[in-house]
Amino acid sequence: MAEIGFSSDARDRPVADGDVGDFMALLKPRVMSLVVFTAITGMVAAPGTIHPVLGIIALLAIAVGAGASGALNMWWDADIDAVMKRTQSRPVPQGRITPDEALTFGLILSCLSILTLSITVSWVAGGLLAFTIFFYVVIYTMWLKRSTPQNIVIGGAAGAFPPMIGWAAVTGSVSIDSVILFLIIFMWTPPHFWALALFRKGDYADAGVPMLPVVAGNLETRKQIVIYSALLVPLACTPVFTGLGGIAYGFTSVVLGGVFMALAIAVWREGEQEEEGDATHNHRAAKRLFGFSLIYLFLLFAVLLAEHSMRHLLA
Amino acid sequence: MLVATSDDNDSKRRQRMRSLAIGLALGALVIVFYVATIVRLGPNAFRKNGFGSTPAVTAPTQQAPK
Repeated sequence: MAEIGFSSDARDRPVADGDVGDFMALLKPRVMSLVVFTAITGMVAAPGTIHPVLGIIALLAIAVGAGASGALNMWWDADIDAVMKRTQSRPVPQGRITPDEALTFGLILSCLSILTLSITVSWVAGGLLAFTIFFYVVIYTMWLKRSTPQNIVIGGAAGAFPPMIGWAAVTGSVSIDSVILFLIIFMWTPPHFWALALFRKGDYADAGVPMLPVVAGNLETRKQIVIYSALLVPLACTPVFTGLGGIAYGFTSVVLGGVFMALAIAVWREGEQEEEGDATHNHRAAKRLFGFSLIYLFLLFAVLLAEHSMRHLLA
Repeated sequence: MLVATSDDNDSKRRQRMRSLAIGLALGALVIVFYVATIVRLGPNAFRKNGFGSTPAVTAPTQQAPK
């Protein structure tokens, strides 16, 4: 009788037996929540309206697409993740999920999210989601991350696309205002991740990831943080001039921008202390900037979201 | 005789949960496409005679000879 079942090749393939929670962890839920939040802001701030059901479907597709790119990132970066303390507990380096499973999971979710967004909501939004996944997985994860200290400068674009996708889901197009939202996140990414890299430098060095502090040193990184912060702060105020942001947004962006700049300068001054051979600072300023940068981006988008929600309610 | 260990049971439970999650996800996908179709088609989706209020093909009317 002919044997019906798996080929020997399939039988030999390791199955790691992870549970549902492990697969959920592949989706990077914390990153996903930030992606959903910025996408909602893009949708609400966009001129025009979308049927609430289609809006929810669009957000779901964007969230799943972001999660899929996280899974593909964990598939490719399993070797790096196993070395770095911050990522050692992820399911693939822990052996609870095999790289093959992570790859399959990521690819299936990528296809489903792109198709769902394209067919049910907008082909432009679906195309942008496809490009975002491609950019994050191929351009950032596979290419830039291991080859240049500018990895997160260029790779930051992947994290900056979600508000533009949300905007396109409503309007079916890309406009200057959605480009401004993109640019705010794009310029925010380097100071945020370089602040993290300053106090996680050893981890990156052990893993062979050429982050700026590893390649160019702490002093250069601190200087670059100040430069990018000085570009980010005025850029974050531009929505006021295009009409995208109102008075509350203008006030918030100026005040928070001032705090951001002050913290960036504190990071730079910490470098002077370091130059004098004083290592007692323990990267306090860098840790403060890293924490505040998350609050900064969240509040900017929250105020924009609140302003536009009010406009919709009053219209 | 083979005795099922707690590891086997645990593994089977995880497999059941994975199958359930896949089933629920596929079910959700079907619902998403169904609801999106209804929303995009609007009220026309529930018309028994097809789209629009008038029949697509009307019978030619006979004109009375002059």
